[in-house]
Amino acid sequence: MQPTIEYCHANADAELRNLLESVHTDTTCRSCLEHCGICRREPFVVINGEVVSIEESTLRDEFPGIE
Amino acid sequence: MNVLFISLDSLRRDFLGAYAETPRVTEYDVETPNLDQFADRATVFDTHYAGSLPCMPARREWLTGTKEFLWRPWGPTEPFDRHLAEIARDNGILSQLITDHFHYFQHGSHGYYEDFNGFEFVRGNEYDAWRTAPHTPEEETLDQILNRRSDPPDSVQYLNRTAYARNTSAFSEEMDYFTPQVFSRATEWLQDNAQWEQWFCYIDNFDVHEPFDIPEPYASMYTDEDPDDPELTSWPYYGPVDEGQSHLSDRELAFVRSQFAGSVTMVDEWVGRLFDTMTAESLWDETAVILTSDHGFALGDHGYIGKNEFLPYEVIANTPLFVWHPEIEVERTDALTTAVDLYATLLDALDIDDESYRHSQSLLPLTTGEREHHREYVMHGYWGSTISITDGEYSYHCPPASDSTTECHSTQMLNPHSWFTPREGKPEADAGAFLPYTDSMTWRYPARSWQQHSDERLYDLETDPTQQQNLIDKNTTARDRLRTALSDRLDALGAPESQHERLQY
Repeated sequence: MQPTIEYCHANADAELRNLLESVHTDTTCRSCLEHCGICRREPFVVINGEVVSIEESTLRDEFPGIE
Repeated sequence: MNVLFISLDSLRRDFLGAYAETPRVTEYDVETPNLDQFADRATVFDTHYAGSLPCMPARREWLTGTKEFLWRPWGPTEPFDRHLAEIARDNGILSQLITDHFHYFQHGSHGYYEDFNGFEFVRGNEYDAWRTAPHTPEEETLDQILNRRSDPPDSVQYLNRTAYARNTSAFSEEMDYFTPQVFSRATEWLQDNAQWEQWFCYIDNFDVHEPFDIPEPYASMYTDEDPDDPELTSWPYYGPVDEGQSHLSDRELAFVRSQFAGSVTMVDEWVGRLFDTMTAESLWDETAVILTSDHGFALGDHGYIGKNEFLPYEVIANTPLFVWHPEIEVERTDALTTAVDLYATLLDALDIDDESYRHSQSLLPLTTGEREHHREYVMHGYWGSTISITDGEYSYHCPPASDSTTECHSTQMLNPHSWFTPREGKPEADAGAFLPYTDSMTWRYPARSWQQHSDERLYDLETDPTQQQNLIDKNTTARDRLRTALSDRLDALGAPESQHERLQY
């Protein structure tokens, strides 16, 4: 089962959007995921409800099942 | 005449007896006897709409008469605004703000409280940067409101939900909570200020906004669950209820609904106590009372919880409004009205008629029967997102193009999207006298538009009040009429030409 990946409109720069496109799974842009402190600090996504920092790990490292 | 203005944040109107016997999302009735009694006294507005969304944009509409969202997002008052409290001072009228709405004191939201003669700020609601201890609040509280991975209790990051747990850690009884504090202070203010010749008092109550953390008896009033069960959240994330971070099981959603309902009943109780004081102090015959909300709150409606993440359906945009004053003649009106009209209404009630009302038109003639109609169309929306327009019979919603930008106009360099964190410089900004309602210079800079949905929508509000069937290709007559009306109103208001471009008009 594919994970649910959400990211913030304000947080996603071109680099993050390109990365999200490269994982070949559905991602959803939200207006605000209510993690403004993290959003200000670094790129992040929310995978199955859990915040994942893109600087600390790539999406594939965090969820090897992503195609 | 004195004016008492009450805003109850996030109060969806189908939870009020004046608008619906039973809310659309519950199988039980919600007790609101005091608000129902006030509705019996007041003129009930059946077709009242939000304008600029969400919280602070609504307050700029109410307090300055500015239809904001066509030009800029959430932010402060502008130097060219004429705030109600400023005008009250200029006319010798005392003004007072009583609130727990901490957004007034956050980044980029200044200018709303400074002009009142007095203001009371009840500290601690939601993310209010107040208490820093205890370092580690009770585990049970944290379990109900946050994920420790995104909101670590030992992190000093902005908008950490641990702040709420700290702020409320000493709460033990009903009087400790925010609504009782706000309304008891308002009651005291009414009792203590009888000697002033004329006053304007604004009570801005953050409840029934989330978190839905409420004391007994309200917490157990509409559920058999243990309100302290750590498996149940009282602070859901905004978004779809069937996936992702905002996912809620049926049990969790039912609990959230019960706590929202309990919050409504708690607010009703304390509004009632305030109104009892109005009666005891014999204030009704010399006071206009206007009660409304900035927007609603989805509780599973259209598959969503919260607001912002989806188009402003009726549950968000069709807001409650009650207006009382001693010369009232009309019980209910279906005239089409909108949030920005409260500015002129409040000035009218204060007997101030020498001001430019900018985008606002007084509603008082609707309450006396002097007039039956008000507006032909009203627009609402979030800056940078969908623009909605309704004539009360149909609603039409036009999203921005997917790769479009929206221009932001302000004397400040506002963050277009990250409203709650420090502002950032805008090297791409230019400056000029861009606004049609002032000669003042402002900055102007672009930001990415945000699509709450990607397709045009049209709903028949009479046959489909919950907006389930998109008629955009089935009723081209209504579609074309509202499309034209939207374009005409953008032109009439002098909205930026870029609004037409981003909407692909």
